[in-house]
Amino acid sequence: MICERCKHKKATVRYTYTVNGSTNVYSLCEDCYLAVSGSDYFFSGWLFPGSIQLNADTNPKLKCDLCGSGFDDIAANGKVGCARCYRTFEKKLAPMIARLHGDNAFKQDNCQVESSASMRLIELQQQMDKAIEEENFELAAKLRDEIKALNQKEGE
Amino acid sequence: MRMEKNIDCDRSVILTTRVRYARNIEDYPFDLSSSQAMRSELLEKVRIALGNKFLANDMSSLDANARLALCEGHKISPIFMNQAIGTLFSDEERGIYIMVPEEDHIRLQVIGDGYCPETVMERANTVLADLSDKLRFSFNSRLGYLTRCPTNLGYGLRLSVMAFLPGLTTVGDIARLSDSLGGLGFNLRGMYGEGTSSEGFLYQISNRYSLGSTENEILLRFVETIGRVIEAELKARAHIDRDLILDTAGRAYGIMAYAGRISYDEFLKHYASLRLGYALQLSLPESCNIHTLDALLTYLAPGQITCRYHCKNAEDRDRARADRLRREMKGELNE
Repeated sequence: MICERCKHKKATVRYTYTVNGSTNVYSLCEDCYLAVSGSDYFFSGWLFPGSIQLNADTNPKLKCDLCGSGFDDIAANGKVGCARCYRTFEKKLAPMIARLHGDNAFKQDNCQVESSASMRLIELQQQMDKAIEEENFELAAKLRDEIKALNQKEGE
Repeated sequence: MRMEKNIDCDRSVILTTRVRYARNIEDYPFDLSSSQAMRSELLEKVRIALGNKFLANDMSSLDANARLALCEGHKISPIFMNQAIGTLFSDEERGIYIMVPEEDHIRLQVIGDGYCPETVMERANTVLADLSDKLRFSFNSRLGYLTRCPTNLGYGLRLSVMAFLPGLTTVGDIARLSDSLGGLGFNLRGMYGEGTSSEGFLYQISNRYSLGSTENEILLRFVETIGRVIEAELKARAHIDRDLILDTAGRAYGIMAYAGRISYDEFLKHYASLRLGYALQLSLPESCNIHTLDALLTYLAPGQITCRYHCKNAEDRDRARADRLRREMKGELNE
């Protein structure tokens, strides 16, 4: 069976999600499972554009699936467990980040010294995030494929 | 705008300029202290990405004094010194030090003598470009480079100077300076950074955040702010009683040139008086100068002295320190 999300890889995980009393089961590949689980924003964006309000990160027992941190661990020492935590606990971290940085967002110099490949990846990632935000999923999927291709090329 | 000009004036206020970048590599937890396997894997990736331009030093092979000595020279952070694991990649000539892992997987810092923010930024960016060629850094389009402490989000960039501020301290303006720097998004702290006290009129000034501005904007704001601090300090020095400083600086020189034992705290006190004397261009012995004094600040620190002279206790150190100091003050050494 092919993954319902990326429609490319073999589905190996059954992902069950209950919302408003109705349970849905999805067959996903490992990568898509990692991407969607624990990240409600990402999930709702990819599979159900605008249709459901998930509240995964208000769950006090929620743990990051990469480093195993809970939000309590992060709150206790002010240190985030891993990069994925920023997504997993996005909503809870947002006020903490806003207290430090206001509503500032990352801003780049035009002449920034970075390797072209990683800059291209960063750019694509940003464009993909924006496309998801604007619910332009066709473009987002295209960008995702481009990112994947670039990643594979880098890995070779 | 004040850039790297007025070298002598700047040097009398700014001892060193430092930049540090925090970076993490994708798919690893930030904290690697409990996983030796992941640490080794990550270390290997960084080693390959850096090539053979750097000398690698395994922290676990160094004793506590050797680590302290590195920290006193600001080559490693107090965190890295205390955790006693990890590798330091260094290029002494260009003042580049890379700690793997520290609070973040990679902490790159570049130190330059005097006031040189552009130079250290440029050097750091060259290394970052090499690293980002081979490594995938954790990055988010809104938050920038993802770091263990959310304070460092954005570029993970902290520019800092070690500043000698006797004028502002004596006039009683340090609290006000700290407040106004705070309002501009800067920190004023003691000489070894967070939570340390300010000895010898020495302070660290650094930007607090790097999210919401480009690197260039951060640099320009830093240059502008530090420029103002330098001007304020030079202005405040004009109110200092030169006669009084000639007396205290002369006495400080006397003690440093003839003492048989001297603790680091006592040295710091006299260092501050004598450095101020030279900064005010008072008539003092030519065998010493600001550069010699600043070099001694690190050279005579407890860890450095212990390592160099194999001292067994504080008394040994005080004797070795005084001996070195005596010869330096009289200009007997040309190091």
